[in-house]
Amino acid sequence: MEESRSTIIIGFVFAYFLLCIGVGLWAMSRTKSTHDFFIAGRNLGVFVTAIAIMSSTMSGFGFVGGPGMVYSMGSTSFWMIICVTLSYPLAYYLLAKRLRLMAELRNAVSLPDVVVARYKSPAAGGLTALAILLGVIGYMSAQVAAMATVLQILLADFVSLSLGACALISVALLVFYCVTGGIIASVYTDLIQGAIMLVAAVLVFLAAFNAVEGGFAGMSETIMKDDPGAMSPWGTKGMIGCLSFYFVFALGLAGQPHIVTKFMMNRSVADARWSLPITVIGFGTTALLWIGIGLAMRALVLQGDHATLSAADQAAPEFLTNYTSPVLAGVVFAGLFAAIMSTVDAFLNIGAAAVVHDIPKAFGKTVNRELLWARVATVLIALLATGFGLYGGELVGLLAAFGWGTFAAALVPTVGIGLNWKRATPAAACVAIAVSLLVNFSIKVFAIPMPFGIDPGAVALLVSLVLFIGISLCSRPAPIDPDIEEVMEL
Amino acid sequence: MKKAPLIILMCCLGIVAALVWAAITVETTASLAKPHALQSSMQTSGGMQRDLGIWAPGVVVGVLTLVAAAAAFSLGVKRTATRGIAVAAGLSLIAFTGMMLAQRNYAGAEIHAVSGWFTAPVNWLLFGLGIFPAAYVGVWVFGFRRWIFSPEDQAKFDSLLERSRSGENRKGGE
Repeated sequence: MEESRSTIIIGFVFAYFLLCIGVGLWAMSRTKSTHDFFIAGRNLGVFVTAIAIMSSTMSGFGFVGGPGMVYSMGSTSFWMIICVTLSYPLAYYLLAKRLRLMAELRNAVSLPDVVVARYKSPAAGGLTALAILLGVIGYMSAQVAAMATVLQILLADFVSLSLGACALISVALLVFYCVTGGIIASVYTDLIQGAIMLVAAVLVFLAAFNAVEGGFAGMSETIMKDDPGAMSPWGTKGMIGCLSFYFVFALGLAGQPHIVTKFMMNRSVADARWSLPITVIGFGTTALLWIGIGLAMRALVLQGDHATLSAADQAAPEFLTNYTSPVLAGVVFAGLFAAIMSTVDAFLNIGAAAVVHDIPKAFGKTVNRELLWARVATVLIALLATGFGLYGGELVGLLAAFGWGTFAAALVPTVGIGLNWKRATPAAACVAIAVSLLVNFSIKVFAIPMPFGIDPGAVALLVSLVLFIGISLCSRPAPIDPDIEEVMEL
Repeated sequence: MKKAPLIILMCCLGIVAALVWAAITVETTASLAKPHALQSSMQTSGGMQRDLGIWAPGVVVGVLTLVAAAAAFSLGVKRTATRGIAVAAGLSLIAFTGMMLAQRNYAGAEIHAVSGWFTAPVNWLLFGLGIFPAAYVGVWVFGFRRWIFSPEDQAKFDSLLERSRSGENRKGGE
């Protein structure tokens, strides 16, 4: 079986690709309007929504970067995982009901639509769309580049393809099911992707447990002997750095547009009751892979049972190559593609909505034949992100950093708090979004050192929250449409 | 809860104050990771004494984060859910305090030990701070029809939707 390892792995990956194509074709017949394309006709059930939210959150970072971070920094990145019992509930409490009801009331197809309805401010909607678009290009570029690299490595035993060709293959598949099936294809592939991730995570966790003598106690003992601080709650990053992670990841999920827009797609508000626990349990389970591989590889290298890794991100591929069966490696590599694609397809969808729907609306324009143009925009955004991912150089890193923290800082105050607090004003929303983008970009562009390794996103979130609430309290209350006000009172 | 945004604002300002306090009393690069002596792709903590100097500001930052989160939770529910939110917030604070105390003991100890799968403070992190806030999930699931969205709310919304669709409400608003 070992000699045909590459064939088995690539077989699993291509079987997964075929599944995605199948779902795209099936979803095409169900996508007849802009509403179907962007918000699945508001007809998703409990389980589909829950798993779509979970798998959109767990990107390729969870399968490669996460284990690498544990390998490199010990328990530091545990903070990104344990916050899920706070972050998902907070997003549900703040937005599951409000977003769903406002979307239905105003026939909204995107987050900026709801922002415009709430604040009666096209400027606030336009800024929300701009923040989304910048984040989408950044996130997607990095994910497309990662997907192309992994595919190139997997195909190396069979055919020598350039990185560009691998990127085109991956993106062509993504574009196919996103263009044909829109968000319906996206959420149903998310369901398949989520299932693959769950299976992969549990199996890898068991493999990691058995890879080191003494299981997790043995790993902890080895890592602790080398550096007791690495097995403290702060890992190597330190206390304040970890607490800043907790702040931005726990409070920030309510500002992630690719996740919270799923609340607009539920069949009914009541469905959210059970989708929250399913989401939390699902993410917690997939995070087992993150912790398992990271700790096992750090312990194995420190014990001298495995050669030193050239880079921390090698932890997951090295573990899969050396400590799992080819079948399990195949499932996990399919899971890795699933994790990347489930995040990217969500971004493609909200990016297309920003381009053809939200930004024109901010300027008082509407696009005729929106469904057609949404499909065109999906292709263009995918190509733009591929171009940036392959040839963007430092700009990709800059835009990729423009991810979680930026969305959190820009959208948590305006969307998370603003949809629940009548005193919030349009001016405060515009200032909070604009300043948060400025703070995030400035920290990155000018490489401003953060004391104690504080996450820049946490700084931007602190600034935008203070500005949003402070300006709202200091300015005159702004009028809200009576129907929106009624929803805010429910 | 009407005061929730004000509480969030105060918590954010408190966190900023705690960070400034830490920054002016302790070397701000003291807690950063150091390269591992033997493994180039790994980092080390450089010793746990580094964090003991900022233990108190760390407690303030963590507690205020949890209080701000509790205030934010209260924005999304009816007022009657306050007790449920308070219980969940209390459990989260207990877990955080337990972890901070366990960490101080661990950092100060001469001999470090593993307790179960992990060290004691990491157990508090994963099984305390990672699980106790799940009480918010419990409040959501078991109090959904009372505190989040009741059948009466659904009826009110259906009526609003009907009015809105017939155009009355929009015209009234304008």
